Amino acid sequence: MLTDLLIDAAKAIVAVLLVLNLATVLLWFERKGSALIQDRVGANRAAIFGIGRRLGVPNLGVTNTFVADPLKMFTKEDFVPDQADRFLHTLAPFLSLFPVLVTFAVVPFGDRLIVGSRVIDLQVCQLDVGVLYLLAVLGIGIYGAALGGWASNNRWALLGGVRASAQMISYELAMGLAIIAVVMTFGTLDLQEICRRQGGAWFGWLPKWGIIYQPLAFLLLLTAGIAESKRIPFDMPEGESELIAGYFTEYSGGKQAAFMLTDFAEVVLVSALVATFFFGGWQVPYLYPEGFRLPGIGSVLLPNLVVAVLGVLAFGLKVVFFCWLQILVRWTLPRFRYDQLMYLGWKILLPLGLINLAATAVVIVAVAS
Amino acid sequence: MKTPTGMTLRERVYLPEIFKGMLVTNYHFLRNLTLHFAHLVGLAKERSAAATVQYPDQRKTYSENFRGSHRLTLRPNGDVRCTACFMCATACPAQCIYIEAGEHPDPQVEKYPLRYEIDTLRCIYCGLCVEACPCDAIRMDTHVHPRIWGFDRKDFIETKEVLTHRSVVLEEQGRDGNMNEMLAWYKEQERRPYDRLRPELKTYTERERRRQELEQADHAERTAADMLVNARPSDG
Ligand code: SF4
Ligand code: SF4
Repeated sequence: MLTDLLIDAAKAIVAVLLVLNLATVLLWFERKGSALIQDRVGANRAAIFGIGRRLGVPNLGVTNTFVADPLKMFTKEDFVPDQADRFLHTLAPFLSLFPVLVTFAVVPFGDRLIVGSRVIDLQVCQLDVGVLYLLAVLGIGIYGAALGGWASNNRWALLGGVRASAQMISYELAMGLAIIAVVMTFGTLDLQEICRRQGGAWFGWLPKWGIIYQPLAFLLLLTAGIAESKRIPFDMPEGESELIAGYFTEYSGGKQAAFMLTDFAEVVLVSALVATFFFGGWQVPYLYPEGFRLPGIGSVLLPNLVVAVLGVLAFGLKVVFFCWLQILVRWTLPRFRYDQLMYLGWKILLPLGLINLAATAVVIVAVAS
Repeated sequence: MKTPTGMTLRERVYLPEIFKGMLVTNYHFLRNLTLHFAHLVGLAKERSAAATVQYPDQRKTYSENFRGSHRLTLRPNGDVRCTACFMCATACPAQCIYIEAGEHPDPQVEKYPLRYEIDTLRCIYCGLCVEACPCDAIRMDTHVHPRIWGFDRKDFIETKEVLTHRSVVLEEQGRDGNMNEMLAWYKEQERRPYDRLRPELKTYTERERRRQELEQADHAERTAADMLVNARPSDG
């Protein structure tokens, strides 16, 4: 009993730490990566007593992002504007970060790990209604932005908050429809089960990943996901040129850091969801619980530990890849206009999602009968 | 929303175009990443991985016809070429050239400048002085930009010595010489005590008190002057 509890706690801690760290690394990558994309050099000045320079290590802006920035963030004055709602103003950043982090509870990051007689499912919380939980908790995330904008007693922040809620509600629909199509395909709401059913291969070589059943849903989920994380090209709620910084205009120090972290945690979340639903989650092509079975070459038997570790690595790799893809999108596209945003959400993504849903239903019935 | 006209179907579907855009982004990303790694191991140093210049580690050389700070050209024997004809001072729209003429010992040369000063805080670097000079005695081809900072106004007044020295440096060290000299000057000034008049005043409070004292003294002086003016009987 106690061991179970400890194992669960360990899994939860590992998952949260991984997400937070990946989010911070993304922040760094966004700085240096965007510099590379734009033919710049990027942050390369901050150093601690010039140690790196003396050792001849190139300054990659690591000190800047991982030491100087957090130090600044957490020693800055925690400013609450006059006449702002102090309680809600403080609550908002946590309300925005918390839902993103808890959604990772149902995202499986590996297959079963067998230790002695104990079978550990590499998923923080095995929920039969994982997908419902995911959609429900993601919905709460809107409150963070909306409340932050509302409680700041600032026109720009309020506008940002309103835009954020409008945008997130619009795109949540498309996201939901895309996910429902996947759920219909695999016939389960449990994310671990969805991963399992993507194992195996057709004709012995084509991995049975969700992207092959649902290519359209993949595009819908990725687009809606980027919109959901409020990043360029969908960063209307923050639009610096119009709204200063949107709903977190009046935030400073740690609370602002929480909002920023939310953005990057959402990037990780969207990547994790896309990987789970469409790219087999922790599935490695041709890797089965007992080992590799390569088409036309032969098979290699592997112990369970190796298979589990390979699975976790594969999942991590997929997540990192999609994070990178999202950052690439962010530095490629300019911001949409507000009407374009709504047009895309309601008149393109939503109908496409419905059509996809209907088509999926027809195909499933046709195949079954 | 109005659909933009003149776009092909492929452009309106949008996804292929996004993909093309991402290819461009990615090309830059990968090229620069590769170049950075190559530089680390000492390869391809001549291809820069960034379009930006890492000032002050790197410096961009100014173009050949860059109109920079002034210099007074020299005769072959090292004397200043200027004959103190005042053409430049007359042409100068900012009226920032101050010349004091003196008689030249050589009877062949009529005059020469005892003092020749340019107040670079007023100079607009228009180059009219260069145009006006009948003897090619002043030029702006030093490849050095105007001094950006100094501690007091005197630092910005370029005297005859400074201006002729630039010619010497240009002759001896080539086009980078003057720039190097100015950067060296910056370095030297950085070490100068904050308050040159009272170097013993180190702390901020002391400096601040001193500043207030000076201000009060100034104020008192002005009030006294005002009183004098007001006390003067009017011409009525
Ligand atoms: S550059 Fe123009 S402003 Fe400056 S000294 Fe010459 S004439 Fe005067
Ligand atoms: S610099 Fe030229 S224009 Fe000016 S006083 Fe000398 S000779 Fe005359």
